[in-house]
Amino acid sequence: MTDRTAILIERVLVAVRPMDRPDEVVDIATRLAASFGAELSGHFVKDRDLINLAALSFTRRIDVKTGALEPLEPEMMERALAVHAGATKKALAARAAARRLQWSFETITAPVLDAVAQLCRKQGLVIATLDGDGHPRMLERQLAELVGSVPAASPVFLLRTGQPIHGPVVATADERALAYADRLAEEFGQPLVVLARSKAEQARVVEQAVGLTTPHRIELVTADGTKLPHAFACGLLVIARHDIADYAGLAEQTGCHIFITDEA
Amino acid sequence: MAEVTQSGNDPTKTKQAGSAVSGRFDPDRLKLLLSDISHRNDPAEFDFETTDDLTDPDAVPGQQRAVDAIAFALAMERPGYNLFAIGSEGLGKRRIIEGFLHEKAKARTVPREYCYVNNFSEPHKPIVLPVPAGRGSALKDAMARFVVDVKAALTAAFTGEEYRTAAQVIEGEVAHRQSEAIKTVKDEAEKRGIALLRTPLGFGLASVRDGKTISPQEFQELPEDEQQKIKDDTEELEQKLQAALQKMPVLISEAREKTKALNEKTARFAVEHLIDTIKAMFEDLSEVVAYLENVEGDVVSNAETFLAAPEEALGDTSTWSEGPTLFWRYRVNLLIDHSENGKAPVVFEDEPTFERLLGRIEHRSERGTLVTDFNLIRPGSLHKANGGYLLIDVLRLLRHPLAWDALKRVLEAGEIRIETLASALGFTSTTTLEPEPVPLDVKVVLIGERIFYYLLSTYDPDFRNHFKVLADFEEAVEHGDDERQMFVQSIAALARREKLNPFDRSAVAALLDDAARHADDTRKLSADFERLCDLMREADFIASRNSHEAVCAADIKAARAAELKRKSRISERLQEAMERQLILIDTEGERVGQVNGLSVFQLGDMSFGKPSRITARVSLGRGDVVDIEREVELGGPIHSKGVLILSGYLRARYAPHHPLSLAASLVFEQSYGGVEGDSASAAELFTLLSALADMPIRQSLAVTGSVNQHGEIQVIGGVNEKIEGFFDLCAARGLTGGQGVLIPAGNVQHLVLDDRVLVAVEAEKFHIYGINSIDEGIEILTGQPAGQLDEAGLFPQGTVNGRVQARLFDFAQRRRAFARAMADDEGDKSS
Repeated sequence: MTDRTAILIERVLVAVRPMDRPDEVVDIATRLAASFGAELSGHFVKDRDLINLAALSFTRRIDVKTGALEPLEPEMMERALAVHAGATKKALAARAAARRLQWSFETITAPVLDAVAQLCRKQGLVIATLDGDGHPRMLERQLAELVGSVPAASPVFLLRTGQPIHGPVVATADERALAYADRLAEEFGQPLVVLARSKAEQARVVEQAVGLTTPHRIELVTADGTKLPHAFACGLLVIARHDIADYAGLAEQTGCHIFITDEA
Repeated sequence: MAEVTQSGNDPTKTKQAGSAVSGRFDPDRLKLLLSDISHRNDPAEFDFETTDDLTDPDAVPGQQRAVDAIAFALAMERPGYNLFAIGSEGLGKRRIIEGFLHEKAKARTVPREYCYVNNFSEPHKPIVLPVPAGRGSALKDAMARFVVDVKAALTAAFTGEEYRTAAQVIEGEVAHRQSEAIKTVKDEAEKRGIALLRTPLGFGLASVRDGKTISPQEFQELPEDEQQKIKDDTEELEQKLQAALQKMPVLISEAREKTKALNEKTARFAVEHLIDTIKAMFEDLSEVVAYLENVEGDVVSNAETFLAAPEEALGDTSTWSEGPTLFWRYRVNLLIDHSENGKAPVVFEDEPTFERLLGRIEHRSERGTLVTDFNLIRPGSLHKANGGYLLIDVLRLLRHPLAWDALKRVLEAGEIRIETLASALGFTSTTTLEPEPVPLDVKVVLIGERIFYYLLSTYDPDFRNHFKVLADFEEAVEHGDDERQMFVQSIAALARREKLNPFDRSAVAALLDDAARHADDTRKLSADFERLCDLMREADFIASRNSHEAVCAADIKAARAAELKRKSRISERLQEAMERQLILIDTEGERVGQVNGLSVFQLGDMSFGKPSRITARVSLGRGDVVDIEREVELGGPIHSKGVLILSGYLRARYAPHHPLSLAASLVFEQSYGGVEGDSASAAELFTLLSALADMPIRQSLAVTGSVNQHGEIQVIGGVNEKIEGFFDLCAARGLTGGQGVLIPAGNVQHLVLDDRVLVAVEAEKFHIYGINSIDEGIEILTGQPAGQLDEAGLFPQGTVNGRVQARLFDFAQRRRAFARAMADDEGDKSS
């Protein structure tokens, strides 16, 4: 039987990247901090990769909307990062004040993954963002590196930028994943779907689902979790830490937000 | 007979002529009998017991002229034949006219209703929709339902699987083509060991080593040819990415068009059946159908706006509390609802301001700014009365800025155009609405005092174009049998309307007496029904307090006395001052050059009479009669005219052949306010004659009346109050039997005196004389014969006129002698 009260989050650590919309990320972080009664620790990641990029004399920037090519100066990048950091702090302060949360803010200068890994070594729920642009194997690497570097005690919430949490919360057949999914489904007002890779797992899920408070259904999937019914949609995938390898493909396929649990 | 000298008429040489006038000298012949002055309505003449036995009158008593005018104006269906009803306050003009209007309104069809709706092409110019009576509310309700339904219908249509799939296909196509374009570059970049990074400043291409971007130091440590390759690859990829991204705006634009077309198709599907349902209800009204088609078009073309709007912008469309929503534009503002009316409207506008007449455009505060829309257009009384009748008090209309001009403009244009007072004055600086004007079909009735009609007709050239019919209400009703019967029935009707106890015939007679007194005429009855009604209410109150089943004459008199008592503080203070000799008025004895004149004080709706001492002093002069009141600017022009007439009278009567060598001064003693009117001119002349003749005047008498240059006494106003004023002073000091009042004989018909005076007259304690001429008056006042002019132009010696003539001749002689002596003195000096 799932017991959602077993989940205890004392701190929410959020990492905002230069390409993120601070309002969007901070909003979810604040919401979860308020929900768990946790303090909010905000971080702006001054991405070392971008600083390196701007420091190369021959690189240019290409406007996303028009395709216009412009010179890319290090100072220009520094200014853009500083503005972004300021906007992130402002968004954090406003939302934390509105919800009467304790909060802090700092800037980390490092490659994004290093920064996230750094946060993961602290106690608390880590919220970071993913995107599909860039190197095609980046996401796989991100997940793999996170799994390897993050202490088992830290749950990690990986958000897709520019995408609302809209659609069912899908959980793998794991008691802790179910407990988190139940809480998150309620928080985001979404239905809950539990994945089972076998009849046996399905039976176990039925037992575990007794304590769930949100409406839910169970979907049978293949062993690697990739073959899903045609109409299946996913807003947020909650994966037990030990199931990451199996469900990384599903995460890629659905393009949804991912929540990786801690270990009990 | 008079003896005439050769040198001319010398009054000093006339013989004693007392015998010549003694036969005619009988002042008491002018004393009025009780029967002359006691004009009372006799209750015994009535054939009813109480007003409950009477029916309502068939017509308005004494107002046939005005009634005919009203009927004409209401029947005349031409522009400009509006009605202007004039007459004093209290004549019941409004009540009478409203009675006619309500009757006429029943025969007219219920007028059309007008709705303001949004103008989708020019929102600041709301459109007016005319609909038959009763259907405005149906349209309003239908559109209110539509506003609710359209939200649900759009929500359902745009959240349905069909729409979402179609929208996703369009979006997906763009996203797919976009990501494909980027992916192509990205794949190629990966092959060359370069990562496509998204930065806050756009895309950037960075060389990757071991999954990490290369730093400038690492780059510098690379061999030159490798560095060059990275540079070349990067530049090439940048060009390709640029080319790919430059196609994006076109793709997005195409997708937007497709989305728009999809949204319009979906919205039309959602809204069409809703609009068709309403169209079917109003298919006979082409303007409404056209409007509904515009609504459909607007919903369809704005579907994207509705979808993109936050929930609160759509909101609960049934209430105003949260402010207007996007769907508010489809509501119907029904200006006037005639669905409950079975007749044409009759509206009395009691506060005819500019905005209350024309309507107004309200505003609401939105984020610190005042904004408005067609839903905030409010009707004016012209809208409310459109298709019927509008009554306005002209004084109130003229008192409000621009209201009169606005009314004229509306009548001239034949349509009601709502505008703000600020814009009418040219003060508007913010954008406001310009609602389409509403066609006007209204009969306007202005009610007011006569002065306004004559001022407007004289000074406003537009006036006669818009108010062609005059209803001139009589101030008083003839006291003939028919009119009196109608008047009595009107009293009965008033009693019923006011839910008063019945009035018995003695009360009715007393009311008629009061109406005659208020008319100041025994042959008339005052048409001031408002005042009459007040008296009836007060009498009813007293009757109820005295447990009378029917109001009787005593109740009427008590009510009247109570009213007088309430209003008589000033009168009593003046009376007290006279009794204490603070204001000097003699009521006995004789004095030369002094007479009691009579004045009326008008204080609001209260008037009362009081005596005033008038004195005259005479001396040798050049024919000037000085009116001291005029000299100190306390006398009005009419009063001054009366005094100037005296000079003419004296000159023509007593000094036709020699210069009027008189200097006389006349004054109202202890008068510190203004004096106006010529009703004291006879008294002034008597004073002057007394002074000239050196004959005393009886101070037990008082005089009122105006005089012309022939010495004829002319009627004056307020005769009853004047008599009662002197009577009260005499009564307070004790009636001697020798006291009385001289009034113009022409005023006898106006006498409706209080009972206390009549009782004294009957007991011969007080006398009223009706005089026609100065001679008659002077004989009563002096107790001496006036004297008749003989053939030689002389008055008998010893008569008043004879003494005046002699005195004036003496003045002339003295003046001539004086002038000659002066001339001699001047001659001596010059020689």
